[in-house]
Amino acid sequence: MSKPKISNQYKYGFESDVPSDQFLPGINEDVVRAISAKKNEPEFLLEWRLKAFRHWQTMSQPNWAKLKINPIDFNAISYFSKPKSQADRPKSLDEVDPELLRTYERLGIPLHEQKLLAGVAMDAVFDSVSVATTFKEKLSEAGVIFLPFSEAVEKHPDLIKKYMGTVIPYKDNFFAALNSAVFSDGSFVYIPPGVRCPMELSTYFRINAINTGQFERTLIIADKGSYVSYLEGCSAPMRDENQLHAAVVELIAHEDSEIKYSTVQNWYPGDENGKGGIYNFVTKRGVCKEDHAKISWTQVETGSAITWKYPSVVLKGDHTSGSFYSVAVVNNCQQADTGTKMIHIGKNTSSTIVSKGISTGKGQNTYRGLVKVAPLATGARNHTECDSLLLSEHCGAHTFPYIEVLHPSAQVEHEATTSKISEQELFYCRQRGLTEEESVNLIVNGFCKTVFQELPMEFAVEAQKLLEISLEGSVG
Amino acid sequence: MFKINNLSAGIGGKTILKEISLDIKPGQVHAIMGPNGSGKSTMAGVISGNDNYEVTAGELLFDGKDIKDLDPEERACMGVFLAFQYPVSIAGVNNMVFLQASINSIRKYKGLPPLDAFDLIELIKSKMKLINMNPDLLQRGLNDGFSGGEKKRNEILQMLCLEPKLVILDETDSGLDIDAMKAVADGVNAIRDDQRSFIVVTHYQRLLDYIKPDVVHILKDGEIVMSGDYKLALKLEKEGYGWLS
Amino acid sequence: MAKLVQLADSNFLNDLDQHLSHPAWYAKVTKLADQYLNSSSVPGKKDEQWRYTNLKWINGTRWTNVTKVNSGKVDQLLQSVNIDQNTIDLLCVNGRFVNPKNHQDVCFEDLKDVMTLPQDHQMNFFDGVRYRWLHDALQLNFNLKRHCHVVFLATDPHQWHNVILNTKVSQAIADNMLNISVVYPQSTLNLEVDTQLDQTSELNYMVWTAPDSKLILRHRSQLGKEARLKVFLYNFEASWVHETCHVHVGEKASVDMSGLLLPCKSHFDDKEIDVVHDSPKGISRQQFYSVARDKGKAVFHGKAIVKATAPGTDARQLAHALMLSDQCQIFSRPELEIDIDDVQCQHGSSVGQIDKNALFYLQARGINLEDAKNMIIKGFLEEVIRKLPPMWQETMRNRVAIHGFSAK
Repeated sequence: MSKPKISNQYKYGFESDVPSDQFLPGINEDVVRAISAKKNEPEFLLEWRLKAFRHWQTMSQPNWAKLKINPIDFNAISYFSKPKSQADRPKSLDEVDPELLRTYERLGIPLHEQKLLAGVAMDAVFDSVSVATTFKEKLSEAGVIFLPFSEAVEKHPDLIKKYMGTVIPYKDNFFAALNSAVFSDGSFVYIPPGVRCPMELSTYFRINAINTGQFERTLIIADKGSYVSYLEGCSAPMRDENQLHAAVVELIAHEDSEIKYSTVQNWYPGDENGKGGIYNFVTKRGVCKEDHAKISWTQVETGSAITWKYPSVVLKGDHTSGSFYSVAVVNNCQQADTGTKMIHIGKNTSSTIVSKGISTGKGQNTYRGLVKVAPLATGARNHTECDSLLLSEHCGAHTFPYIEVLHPSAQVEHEATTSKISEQELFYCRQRGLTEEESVNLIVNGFCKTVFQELPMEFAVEAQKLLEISLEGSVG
Repeated sequence: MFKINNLSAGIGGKTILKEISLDIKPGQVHAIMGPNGSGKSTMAGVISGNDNYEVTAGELLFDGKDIKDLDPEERACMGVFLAFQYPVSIAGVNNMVFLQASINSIRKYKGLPPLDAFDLIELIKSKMKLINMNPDLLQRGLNDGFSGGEKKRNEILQMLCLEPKLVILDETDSGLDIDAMKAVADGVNAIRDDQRSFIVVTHYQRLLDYIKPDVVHILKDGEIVMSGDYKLALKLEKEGYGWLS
Repeated sequence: MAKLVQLADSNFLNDLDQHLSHPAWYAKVTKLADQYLNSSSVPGKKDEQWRYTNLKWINGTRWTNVTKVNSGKVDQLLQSVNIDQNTIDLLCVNGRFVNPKNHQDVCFEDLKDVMTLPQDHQMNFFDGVRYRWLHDALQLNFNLKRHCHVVFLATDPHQWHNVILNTKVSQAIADNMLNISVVYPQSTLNLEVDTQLDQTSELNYMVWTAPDSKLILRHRSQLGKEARLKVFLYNFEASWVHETCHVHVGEKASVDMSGLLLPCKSHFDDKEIDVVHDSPKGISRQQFYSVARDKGKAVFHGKAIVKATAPGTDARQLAHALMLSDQCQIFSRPELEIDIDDVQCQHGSSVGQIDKNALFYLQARGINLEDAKNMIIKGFLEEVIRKLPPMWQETMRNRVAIHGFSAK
């Protein structure tokens, strides 16, 4: 294989000329109060934010063995930014700033309903606020609530109060606490009992403004016997500074319900020398609260300078199941530290973990995962597969599994391999007429297949394209 | 010798076998044929006592005694032998040691003294010759790293050494080349006599060319839909299972 | 030393001090160890490396004074564990190396130029304690042409000793064994075994422990080009073990480590293995099997680290565990850190009960349930035991049987 030539291929790195209403950088209690006031939040929420903020001040940033993080100056970040024209939330898409709509079109995400891929309802979050949610009527007919988080706070404070912070308490970790204090917007989903959500729900996140952090919260509740599939996509302009994205996603699956959560993450990864890029420090966790509930996380992580996230499942009910399917690609100087936690508490629970790490350039890819079987969790099953593919000489692939079994009836299996693309495979493809790059793509795609199969069709196609883009120039 | 009366059985609450009855006389060979998923392997499992399957009704009369509630090892001691479709591999458990434990456990049940190592090796070596089995396999882990043919030969070796009264061959022919299949058949034919009975579970008629059955049953959706003599197997070979529906 | 007092009774530290007789040159080592202990804190559940380690027993432990060596007592102890005094090449009684024939002091020699603390990131709390309150140290600088037996023992309960054994091997024949036996009834040995293997040399070594001892063991091994090291960690009889192995694999060198963790009662066994490949074409194998009973707790924390300077590395790890009781616990962390593409790395780990299909197969051949279980457990253990040189296998089977795993 010839030496990698690295080209910068980030296609979503343009900046939009949208005037924004942005807080001065800095964080203190007044900023927290101001965010809450901007959003006319009820007292309980402000109190919660303040508690989170006070707790955050007592915490220090986690320090992981395998990540190199430039120090973050939390006072240099603006904690709120929204497009000016959104001062009053648009009532419909017609009122949305045309420049904003163009931004989404350039991203390949047209918000106009007629152009939307049939069957996907979309919530777009631009910097700190949700700009447009589509298909509202059709969803409300089914009784599904799909709203920007801030709107849900106004309209369904009871649900927010009941569920927010129950899966990820504000004390959970440094970045979750920060998010709990300053979160700006996000998505809220509630599926009523027995309802199968009639379409895929989707949120698209975009950081545009300079020196902004994005702190959104997503809360999804699937009531008894319901089903929902949720998709999340992300991008950001190319900037020399690192931008912080510290989101929180909470999933609650009641009896017999199922939540599928898919992410295609393509935040700006920084340039080939590691300058700029998003710090993607996200806390995602779901709880299978009652019997027979199911939660499945699927992620394709190609962007961000640093990714730090462990979408997890707490298997509390009996016969519940959790799964985690992940493809993480690192190129240039990107670092990814991702994996999952499967906490088996109920009886006869099962979990599946499939993690595929692809490293190239000087990228560092780490799988870090916990499988825990609690002392009373009889009949727990887990199967974990962690495979790493190394495409360049100086990249890294690391595997850190934690297996903790406190009940003897458990069956926990872990397998991992690390290898490069074999010369034989490559030769075979090329002998059949493929170029080296095509061959690598083909083999990498095959390597990721079990994960892509878990994605909804539209996303699977997008994910494959993204993978090609992020690997472009990494070989020959 | 062995009678199944109105046997119903299933797995995880789902019924697979529905009121099956069979009467196997001493010395007879019964073939059970049927398409995939018809319940053939369930039947083998139920007779040998695999507790993955639940028996919901009926009797399994072995020499007049109902064995359906007995542990698998007790059935084995009485003379029920199952040649597994997928023999388990256990690395670390020496094949020879395993065979010794098995032979002596059954001898003990019969009130016979255990065989010492010399007698045992002599016995095993003589049986291995019959089926043309590589003696090196004895010193390896139980089925550990064996090829498909070697595993099936190992099953037949165990059968020869244990001298059971009722042998169930569960798809023993699947995945075997012609030499291995002949070896299996040679092993079976070597111990056929007027007392020992066989149940040959198979998808294809091939094996029956070498082990001639007295009776052929066709199992479909958990029921015996037709029984006949050897000609039935030939008809199936020619026409497949389609004509049954 | 305020932090240390938190952990151990001050009498314990005084006791340790009283029995030290360091040569003058050692003062600088004491100082370094002091610095380390002052700058680090006592390990707790929040430390990544110690999250599964049960350290409560140290807290408030009282330590009696070490008594003078009494040869009658030594004989009696050796007899009780079936060690023939004539087979001993080197003896360490109550923290002091002595000649096995006449009990004369033989040591704290030869180490002036070779003694180094572990590198800072490898150093742990127990290393700090060992170097600060070192009782004795010895360098074995010889060619292993035959089996060599080193015995550590304590003559009275509640003793704690910090000892270093440094071995340098320049030429040795395969299948000869450096055999380390530890007889520490109700006492604690904080031992370091350093092995340095020169180019193309070979060494096997085995560490075993008599029942009822607590063992803290630090192995440091450096493998020269094409050197071969086999390490057998069979100290399953001890009631509490914390074992740290750090192996540097040289060019085309190979290391094969295996071990059995068989905690029963409320025993604890913790193995932390770091295999570092920083030269081309090294081979490493880690194979650790655990069977936990009663309230036993087994921890396997294995790492294979492949640096960018080690193309052609082949590193494998296997960690399998069987759980036989409701209250036993298994923790497994098979880790890989790879910084180069030209590697073959794998790990596999499983935790669970005895496979039901395997049980049924044996039962269907007439073997009763209890025997079938024993047979499978024994087979499971055999996977590791068969890695031993043939002359040691039978001894190990007997020990495993005495420890409660016999097939009939």
